[in-house]
Amino acid sequence: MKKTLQKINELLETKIIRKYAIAGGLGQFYYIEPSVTYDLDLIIDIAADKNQLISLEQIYQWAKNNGYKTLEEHIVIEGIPVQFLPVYNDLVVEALNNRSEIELYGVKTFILKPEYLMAIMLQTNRPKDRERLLKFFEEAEFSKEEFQDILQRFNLEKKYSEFKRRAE
Amino acid sequence: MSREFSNHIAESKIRYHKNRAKIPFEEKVKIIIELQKIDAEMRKGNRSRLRPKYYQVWQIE
Repeated sequence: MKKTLQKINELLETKIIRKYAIAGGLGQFYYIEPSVTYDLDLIIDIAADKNQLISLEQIYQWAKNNGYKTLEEHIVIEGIPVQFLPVYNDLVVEALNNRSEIELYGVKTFILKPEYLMAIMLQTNRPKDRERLLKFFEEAEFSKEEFQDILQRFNLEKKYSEFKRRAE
Repeated sequence: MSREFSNHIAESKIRYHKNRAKIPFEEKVKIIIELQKIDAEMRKGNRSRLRPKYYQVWQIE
């Protein structure tokens, strides 16, 4: 995992990506009890001009140059399948801009804050997301005020009410 | 089972999971890999369960 994170940081250093943050299952398990997962999801901001279409081409080229294989939509970086997800909506853009800088295995890296991960889970709303969101309420340390603020600004209050109704 | 006892069990379970949420991330990754191994074993007995190709035990140091 240390090598994976170091190689991911190389994408920042070579300016192939502008920003990244760990998201998805591994991002969630930073805050809650882990369960099984098989990939590392990264939310990324690709270094592309405003008029250019967002393309993962440069990342795939970098992977090829490093001898990394692809598995479906993942690139296997030092043993871990990594999925690069360009920011896809305003909530995710804001989540990435407010990412936390942390250190894992002695390597500087970035992760989405719990309040944003929770809001994204609520927005995505798959059974898996609802299950993990419930665990966040039971296990994670987060700011209720910040979470409420995000819900309000991204019109997620109705979804939150529905989630609470189901959870009861 | 009394209501008091079942509440006690429920509370201990919540406490247990909350404590597990606090373990260092590096330890959590070790747990995830162990869970992947268990999952892989279980899948051997259930070949009908289609899984994506990237569902593999992480080969990391």
